[in-house]
Amino acid sequence: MRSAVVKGVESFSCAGTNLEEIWKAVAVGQPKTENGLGYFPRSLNLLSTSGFHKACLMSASAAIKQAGWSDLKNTGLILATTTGYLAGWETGLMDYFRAPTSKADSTPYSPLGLCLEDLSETLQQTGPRLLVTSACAASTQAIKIAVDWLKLGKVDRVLVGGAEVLCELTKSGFGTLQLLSTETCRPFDKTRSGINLSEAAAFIALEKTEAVVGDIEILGGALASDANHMTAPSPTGAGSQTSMRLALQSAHLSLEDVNWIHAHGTGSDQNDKAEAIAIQSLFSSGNEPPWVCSTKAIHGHALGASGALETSICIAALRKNLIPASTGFIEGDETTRQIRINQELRETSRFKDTVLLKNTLGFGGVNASLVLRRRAS
Amino acid sequence: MNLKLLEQPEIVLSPENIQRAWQEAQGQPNLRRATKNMVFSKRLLDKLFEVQPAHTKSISKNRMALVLGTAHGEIGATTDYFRAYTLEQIAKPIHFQNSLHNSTLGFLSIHYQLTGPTFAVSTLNENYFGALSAAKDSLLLKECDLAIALCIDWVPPEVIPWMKSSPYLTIAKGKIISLEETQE
Repeated sequence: MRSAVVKGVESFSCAGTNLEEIWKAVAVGQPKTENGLGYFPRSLNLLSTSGFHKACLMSASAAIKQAGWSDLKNTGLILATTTGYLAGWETGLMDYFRAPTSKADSTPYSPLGLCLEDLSETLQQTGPRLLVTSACAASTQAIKIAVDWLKLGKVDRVLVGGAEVLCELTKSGFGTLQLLSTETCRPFDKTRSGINLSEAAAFIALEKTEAVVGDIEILGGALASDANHMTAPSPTGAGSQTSMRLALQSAHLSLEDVNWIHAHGTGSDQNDKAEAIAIQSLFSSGNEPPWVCSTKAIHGHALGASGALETSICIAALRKNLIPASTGFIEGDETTRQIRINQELRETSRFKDTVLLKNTLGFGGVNASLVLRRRAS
Repeated sequence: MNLKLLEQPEIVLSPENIQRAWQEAQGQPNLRRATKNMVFSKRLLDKLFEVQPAHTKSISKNRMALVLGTAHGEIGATTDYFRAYTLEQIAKPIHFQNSLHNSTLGFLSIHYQLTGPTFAVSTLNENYFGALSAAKDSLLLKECDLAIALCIDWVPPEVIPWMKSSPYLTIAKGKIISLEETQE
């Protein structure tokens, strides 16, 4: 039976200039943010206003090369971001407010969709394309939609990814909500003090094909809304619970099949509490609950790109038959201690299929989950 | 038994209706902090629900999908944010919250208690097509029994001179799609 198989994957973040480097940082538990922020490494030369496009292009091209695709004809393209080119325009806008006579010709306003059009044009892509902008859940939603396109037969190949460049709006905006920490974040820990914002670009080349032993498949995904609050998750974790349950349903798997969960785990009080409640409620009846980890202490929270970056880390982990430790976690609070947080780099069986759930929660009450599997037989 | 997509007529709010929606929203406590996109899309959704086919009225809110297509997102709230941030050195949480590209989506899901799949897309001139296509996919995958596709945009006048190209300045249109069982 044909499924959505990962043929190529690449990512860039403060934790590394490629997925292998990022994985090494995750495996040894080495946080790479500084003073609570995670910028692209200087060696990538992504500091200019065209940094967003370059970051997309570099990671997308590497994923395409790994997949062995010679072109992107009749290939789906899905990009996810919350700010796109905003980092370039916001400076001009602030200058304008300071001196309204100044013209903005040097930094024209760009609608968000322009970054998708530019990427499509540069890659000479033909086929359906979409930009997903649903806050921090954007790229997890994008990957779910990519799998849907393959399932529905819209295309046989999809290039899907997310990118985020830090800008003044996100840094100062999250600051106003008092969600930021200048320390390395500690997801699910009882002393957690907030999130670390970061940059990232990550792309995955997916193909509808027969999976063979060792392949990583994305079997399905689901979305659900909290309908509760604009900037906080439902305290009951209801939407997240629903998206995990429906994702497993779409993958034709049951709760017992799940070996581990790569959580959204931002290190904010409300997110970690809601997510822990959702996981605990869903998996409480099982004999052996899944291991749970968050890797945000290593690479920070890349907002709209977080789902793509973290899915790329999940793919690396599955390929190596390992479950990353939840760096920064020492002891849970009353709620988070109810779930089984993984505190060491743990091996999974090479001889059995490994199934993981990737979770994301976003502003606006959007929740998204993916189901990934490493085929062992 | 086969399933067929049943598209309801598209509803487009006229400029007068859009203007009236904003005027009427002033002073309404539940719309006190709403952006123009939120107000216009609420008016649109009210109208779409008015003409919702009878056989779909019993569909539960967790079986409804909502897809919002928007080229400019909350550019009005983003501009408000930077105006206050630059001139008053104040970053206002409400402006930041409202500046998110999917904040209208979040507002609608809370207002109508829509707990099914919701997402925001942005594809320049293809916004509405992208939203419609995604809404239909959601139905075909049986993730929902009713899908709503919206295309919403409003650009503040002060931003217009900055624009090199402008797919939409003000627009509010949408459509309800459902599934129908056929014998074919």
